Amino acid sequence: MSQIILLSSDNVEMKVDKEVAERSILIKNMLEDVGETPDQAIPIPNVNEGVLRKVIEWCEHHRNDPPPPADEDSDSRKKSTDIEEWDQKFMQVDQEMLFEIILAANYLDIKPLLDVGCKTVANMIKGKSPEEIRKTFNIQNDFTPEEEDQIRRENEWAEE
Amino acid sequence: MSEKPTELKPSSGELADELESFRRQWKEDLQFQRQPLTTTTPQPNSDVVPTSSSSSNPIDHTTLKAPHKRRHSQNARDTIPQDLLAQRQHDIDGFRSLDLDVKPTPSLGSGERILDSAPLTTGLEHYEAAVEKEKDGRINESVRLYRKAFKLDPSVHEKFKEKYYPKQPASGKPKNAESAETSEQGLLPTEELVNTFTGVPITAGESINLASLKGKNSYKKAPTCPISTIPREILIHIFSMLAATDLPSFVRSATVCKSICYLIYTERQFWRELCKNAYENMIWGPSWACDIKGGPLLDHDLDKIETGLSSLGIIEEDDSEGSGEEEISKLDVLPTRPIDEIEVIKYNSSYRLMFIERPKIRYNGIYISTCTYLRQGHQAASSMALSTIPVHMVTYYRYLRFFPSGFAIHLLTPAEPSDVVHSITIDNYNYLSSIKATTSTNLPSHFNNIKHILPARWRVHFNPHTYPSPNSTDEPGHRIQIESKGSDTAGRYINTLDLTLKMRPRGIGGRRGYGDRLSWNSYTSFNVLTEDKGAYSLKNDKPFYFSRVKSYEREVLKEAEE
Repeated sequence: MSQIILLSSDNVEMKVDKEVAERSILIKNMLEDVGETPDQAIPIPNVNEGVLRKVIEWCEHHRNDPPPPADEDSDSRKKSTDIEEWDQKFMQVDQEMLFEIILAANYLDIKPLLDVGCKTVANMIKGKSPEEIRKTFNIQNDFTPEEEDQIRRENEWAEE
Repeated sequence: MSEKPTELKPSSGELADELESFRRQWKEDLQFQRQPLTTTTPQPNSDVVPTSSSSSNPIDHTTLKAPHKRRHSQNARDTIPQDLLAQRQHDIDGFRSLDLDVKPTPSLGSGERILDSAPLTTGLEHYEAAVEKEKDGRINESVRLYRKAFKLDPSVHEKFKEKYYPKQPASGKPKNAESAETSEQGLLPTEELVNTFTGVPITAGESINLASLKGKNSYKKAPTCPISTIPREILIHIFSMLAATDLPSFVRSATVCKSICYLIYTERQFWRELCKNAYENMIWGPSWACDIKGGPLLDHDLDKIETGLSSLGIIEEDDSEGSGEEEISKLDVLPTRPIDEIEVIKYNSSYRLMFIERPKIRYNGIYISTCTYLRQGHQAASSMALSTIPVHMVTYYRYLRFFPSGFAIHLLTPAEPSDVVHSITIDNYNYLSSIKATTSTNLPSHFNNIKHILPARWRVHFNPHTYPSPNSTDEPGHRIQIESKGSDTAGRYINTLDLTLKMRPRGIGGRRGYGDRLSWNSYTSFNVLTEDKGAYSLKNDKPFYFSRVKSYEREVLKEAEE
């Protein structure tokens, strides 16, 4: 099994099985462009060591997953927010890490990981009141009371 | 090969760092400049944002750009002339006398009027001067000028608005007048209000200041709000997952903050998809999607019933809706359902409005018609001749539950909704019909209320030959037809419910009234054997009202997954 070296934004080198790294479509395409397994480290300038380790951990666990369907049928990706048990545990990180994983998955083009991250966030919003959502994500309420009232009333239909 | 990554956006870590250091620096600057005048600290996230930054300054919505925006305003502030800074310093020394010689910074925009040293005479002039002073942070003077302005001319605020903000009266409100004015005037219509949220970033809330609890400064932690680092396209991904699986939570999120509100109101993709799912899932006539028991279609049965009913004229059938083979082959090239792109024009081209207001059958709940009537009882034999005759009040319920397959369940029972709603499921229907087929043994008690459950099928009146109708008020999707098996054991009768689906009307102030309802057009029966037709009286029958049922919601989601 050939291995490649990834270089995080804070200049930490990590050895990874090529197969694992190729869960990232960005890296996969890169390697295909090069044609052969490079000796030098591949810089991942947008992802720091901690996040990159998490991402690699996920890729290791999912190394044998079938590749996501080629067609960009986003419909099936959205129909459910169920997350398999291992992924749920994997996503039990602080919010900063959660969103950094999402950003890294987006950058590295690992769609299933991006979906898991987004589902995790969606599930954090589900069933909560606006105030609870604000508390969960530390978002400031920048409405005036009148504005908030107006928006709330306008959206009451969805609760019926 | 390393070209690819380098041209991409900076890592979130770097960004967070940059954001953090910028924030710190900015706070220091602010403190230096405005320390004594805390009331006017122009935090972009406070709700006293000056109009120029919230409405007239459209910025890319990407949250990543937020720091740059702040930096611009920062630069602007750095260029404030030194004498003004001195002036400010002077202000805090005490309540100064008016100094009208100071030229206010010209920043009011197109309608601006640069004040010169001429003495202020009218209320409006005082007001303008006050606004300028307020912008400079000279609150004491500003308040005095406001007071004077209002004394000279009580309606000065309206005049000011007319002059500078003819189109957006609510947004140009100077802070001091705000409390007095908001109660008098309504807010903008929501669509316009939401537009003023363009480019407002998600801002971090106030973190708990541990220092204040423990009396130590070192515990102070800068508030973080990681969700604000997420670019718009990922937020869209998150919220479209939410919209597809939990609509109420999705809609509720609009009340969280301006940025999310703007995203939810204006991102067409969400609503387009919701519309697609909602309207694609309806069973558009002229054909049915299943037989009356939910099984596959048997064409000859269908034709017999349909032509029978239409020939009598009990149901309005379009002449094009024949049963010939040619007609059916022609249908292939015609639209199978109304085209969303055409329908949406009726809703100001807003998919959001269309989703809210265009009639649709919902599967996440039940339609209930409550019927009440009074019946005179018999006089008891033993009672006196003058005693009153007893009157019975009879209440019964008609339940209709729709399924995306074209199947429906129809139940008529005196049992109250809370006793039956959760039992009206496909599984229970299947169980009951399997029992009926074999023996007539005693049912488990919890089936008592639903043992008269009747299978049905539904479709929407849709005539592809006349669609799209030139008459724009013609609403495809209004008329629902349901065929339900009769309650007779022999199964000779088929009842047809012809209903009109109405969505909640828009009430006063954007508030929506009652939920969706199905009102009766006709209720007819057809005897399969004798081909006799008859119509029921609808004297006691009331419209069906929709109620959400959470357990159905879960079923619908599960089904959608599979």
